[in-house]
Amino acid sequence: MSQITCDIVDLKKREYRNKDCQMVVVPGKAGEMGFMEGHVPTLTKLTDGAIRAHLNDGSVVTVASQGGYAYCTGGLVYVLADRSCVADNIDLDAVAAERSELEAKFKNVEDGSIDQKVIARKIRWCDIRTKVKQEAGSRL
Amino acid sequence: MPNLHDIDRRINSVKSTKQITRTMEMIAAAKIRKARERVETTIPYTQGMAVTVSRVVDRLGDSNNPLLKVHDEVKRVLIVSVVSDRGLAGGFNGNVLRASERIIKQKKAQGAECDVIACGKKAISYFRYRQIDPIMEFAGLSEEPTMGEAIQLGNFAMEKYADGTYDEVILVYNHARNAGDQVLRAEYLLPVRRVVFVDAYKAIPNWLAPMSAFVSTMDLDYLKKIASGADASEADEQVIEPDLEFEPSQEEVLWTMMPAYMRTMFYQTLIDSAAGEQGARRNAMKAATDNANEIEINLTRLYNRVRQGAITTEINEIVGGAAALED
Repeated sequence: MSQITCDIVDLKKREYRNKDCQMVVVPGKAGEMGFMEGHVPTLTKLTDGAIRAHLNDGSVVTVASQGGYAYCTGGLVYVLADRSCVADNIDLDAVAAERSELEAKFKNVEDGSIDQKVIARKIRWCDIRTKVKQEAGSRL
Repeated sequence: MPNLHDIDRRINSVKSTKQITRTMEMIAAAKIRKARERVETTIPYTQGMAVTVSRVVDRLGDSNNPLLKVHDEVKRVLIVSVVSDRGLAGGFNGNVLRASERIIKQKKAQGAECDVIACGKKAISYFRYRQIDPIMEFAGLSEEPTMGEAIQLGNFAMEKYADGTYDEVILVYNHARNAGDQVLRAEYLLPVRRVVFVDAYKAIPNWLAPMSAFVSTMDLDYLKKIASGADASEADEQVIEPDLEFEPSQEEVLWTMMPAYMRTMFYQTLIDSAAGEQGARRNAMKAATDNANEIEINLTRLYNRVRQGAITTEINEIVGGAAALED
């Protein structure tokens, strides 16, 4: 049985860590990539989407992520995301409220400014979480 | 012998100084927790980045990435000195600034020119006084550094290293080993070298070391295992492993990852130094408060002695006067 560790960290916290994964699927820039034990050492750029840790007990843990890199050593998948959140912890109502607040802010900032880009990225993060949560829910 | 009024005035002065130092100690103690929390939340990401880059540097053959290329000759060095905006923090600023000056002298002796980036008002005034004009200055960031400043520093260092203006970039700062202890660090940031993993509770062995990733004892073995031979002490015992693969391509991954690494390291340095500043200030103010207490005790003792002396003199005079009247 394949046994690989999944370690997902972002700039603010360690979001998820489990040593008993069968396979870890990440949203690579060139498409989804699955890592199992003994995978050749790989460093991949990530796109926004869902990271799925298939555990050896048959369950799947989904983590929403934005940007970053995944580094596989053969026995471990280390994900360095810009932002990440376990799908189970996503509160869709809170995300929707956050999004509408950000949209209001977006309209009030100067066009093309850094602030606008930062807010646009945060809005995108709201969309990613919503999409990942809905997909994780429909999969169940 | 000083008079009572002078001593009393002195005692009041010491008391008011003590109140100030005691308050500053408490403010610093309150800020330490927040500053430490900020450092600790970024540690998993910084460690992960350091491990990954270390592995890349370790296993990459030839690369076109300019940040991974070691320049043949060191002609110009960039020194980034990170201190605080305010004093009253013991040797916190002085240690970093003297170390920076020492590196400048060393590099000049080796025939290299040095430029300085001063982070913190104390660094700006220190270098200006010594006729060294910093090429970049950051004031007012020492307590609340932001990613914006780290990006600015990172972009400048990367750009100038890539175009050949600088051949080395060195960071000098205080690492907050714990809430009460700071350690001076001088580390090479560029060219990117293999990161050294240092137990957070042990001193780094070399002066002017490669970039270090400070980890708790618990994480040390784990990270060393991941980096498989990334620790300098185990360099000779490396096992030959398959080459690292990059997706979608080596160039694309490295071109975006190296700037992220630089920004992360600069940000970690700034917040680490900010946490150290509060620790150093608390220590310095605690020592000042203790000293003020001691002076106050001594002055009070002197005051009582002088007062008792005056009373004894008065009694003697009365007794002497009464005896004279009896005679």
